[in-house]
Amino acid sequence: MQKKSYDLKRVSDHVWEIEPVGRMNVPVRVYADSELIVSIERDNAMQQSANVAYMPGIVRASLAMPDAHWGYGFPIGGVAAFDAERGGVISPGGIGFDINCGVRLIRTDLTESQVKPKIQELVNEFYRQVPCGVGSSKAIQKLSEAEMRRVCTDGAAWAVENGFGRPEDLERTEAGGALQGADPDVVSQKAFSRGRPQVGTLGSGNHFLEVDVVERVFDAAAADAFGVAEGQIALQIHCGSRGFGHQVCTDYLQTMQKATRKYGIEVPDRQLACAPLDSPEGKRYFAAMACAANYAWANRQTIFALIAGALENVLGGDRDALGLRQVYDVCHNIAKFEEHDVEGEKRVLCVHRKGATRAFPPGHPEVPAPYREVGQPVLIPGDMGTASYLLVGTQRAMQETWGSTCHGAGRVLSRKAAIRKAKGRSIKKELAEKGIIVRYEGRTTLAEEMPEAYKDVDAVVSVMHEAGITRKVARLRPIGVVKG
Amino acid sequence: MAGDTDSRSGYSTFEHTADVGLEVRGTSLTDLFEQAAAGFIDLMFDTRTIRPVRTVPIAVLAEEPEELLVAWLEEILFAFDANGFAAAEARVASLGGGEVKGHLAGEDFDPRRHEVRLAVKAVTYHNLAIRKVGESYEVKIVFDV
Repeated sequence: MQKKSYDLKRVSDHVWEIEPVGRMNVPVRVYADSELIVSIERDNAMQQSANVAYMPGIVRASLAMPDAHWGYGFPIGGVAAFDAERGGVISPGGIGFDINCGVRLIRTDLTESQVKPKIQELVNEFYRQVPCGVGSSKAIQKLSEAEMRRVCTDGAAWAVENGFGRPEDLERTEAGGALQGADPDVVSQKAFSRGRPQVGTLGSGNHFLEVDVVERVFDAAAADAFGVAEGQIALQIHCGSRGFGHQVCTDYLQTMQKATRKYGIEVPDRQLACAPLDSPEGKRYFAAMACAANYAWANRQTIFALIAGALENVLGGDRDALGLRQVYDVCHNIAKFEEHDVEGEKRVLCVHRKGATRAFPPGHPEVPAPYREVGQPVLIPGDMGTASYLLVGTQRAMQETWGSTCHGAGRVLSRKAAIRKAKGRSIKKELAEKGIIVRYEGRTTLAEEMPEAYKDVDAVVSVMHEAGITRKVARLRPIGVVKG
Repeated sequence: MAGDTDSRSGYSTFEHTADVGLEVRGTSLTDLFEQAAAGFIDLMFDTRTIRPVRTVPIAVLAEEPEELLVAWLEEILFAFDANGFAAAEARVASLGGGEVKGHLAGEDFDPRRHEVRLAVKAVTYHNLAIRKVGESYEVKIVFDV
């Protein structure tokens, strides 16, 4: 751990800043209240945000969201935008190993009373249909190399064309479920061999499938536009690009170690290794990262079809009779080229979001047509015993955070500390007492992912709500969870 | 969890909010690489149940020792995630000139007999620096889980 070398000042109710010192190009801006800032400071996330401020071509500020915690390189909960024309860079460490880790929310016409009597059966069926845990594979037939190349370029559309879901799902997916600029030729054979058997699998760690009840609606107009109402059952999928994305990141971290030396870039942490956006290395990484992002969208699209099938098996009826419709699918580990207003000038920036969610405002062309008047839905998965949130993006987010917000509750306990805290307790039983049925794969998964291991998700989303970055639309309470 | 009894050679784990780390010591670079692999395998699996019945050759290239170490450890992860091979141990045959050669010994992962202790996504470069302390080598490695 590095020594604290910064001075953090509160500049408004929800914003704190570190002025640039030494080789920092820009200040650090962090969104937090007086309680959340304590845990952010305690685990060194601020030093990591300060390190990001050293990177070439960073514009305006190194941002941290209220769920920020110590990562590697960038903090988790970090946002940074880079301008190619001002020497800006792209960094695999600013995106993370799980490229396009993200969340999909599906609304239904079902009510809690219809689902509750069959919740154990439903959770079992989810668990049976979607392989989970480390090394999970073969939800569907292992893909050929030619199919993998299509997954890389077409993303979620590949899944729809192969019978997993419907074209209407794509309209309600960030970037339509396929990032442009993907090039399978710059992805290693190693990544392909890890990716081929893993489409349609959940993986491990904090990834989950969830059956939720819409417990409270805060914003009736937005909820109505999103098709969400109090008392309704909703489904959530949280996962990413599996071993394929991990390998792409690993491969390009090594490329970037060399590139950092080649271009004479100095960074305070090797994990921040990067290359200029307009360099061959930078362009190749973006094209490979886009392949992994598209793989993740194909993965969540396939999983949606698998759990829709599970719901049909348990409750009868089909997708239309059950009222299944995708609300949105959004990523929280990605870099994207986006047009933003920089001090009065329109610029195309490469926005890195590592553990941060895009939150575009009403009227933005990238917001799906049915939601354009209210803004982009933002999905915030909480811990498995508390709640998740549906939020909506604002113009203020565009002005202050490159159209970004938090991504979850954010960890506060290390995995070992969580296991120690859970010793002698049955987390499964505790959750059951709260009316939450859980199935899991890993032996220590439940202890590691226990609610106390996370920050208070209500506090995290409230900071962004009160700061005017994202507005609360609905709070979702879990009743059934599958953990990897 | 601990490695060898020699205080200059072995490994121990340290905590990190979202992830987990290994502190590794070796009497030589070769020993450091083998200890790091042993620590990593110990994080991933309950090694008591894995029999070294088959070997997988490893050869990786990188410019800097730290990059070589990451690439070496990534081979253990790749063998498991891509090929379902659970390593019980890793041995270095040669190390130098930007290349490490060696092998993994283990068997095909069988969920009925083997247990995954920790699902590791990747080996990170976070603050990674191999230090020479007296006659021994030390490194701290953070894993993404």
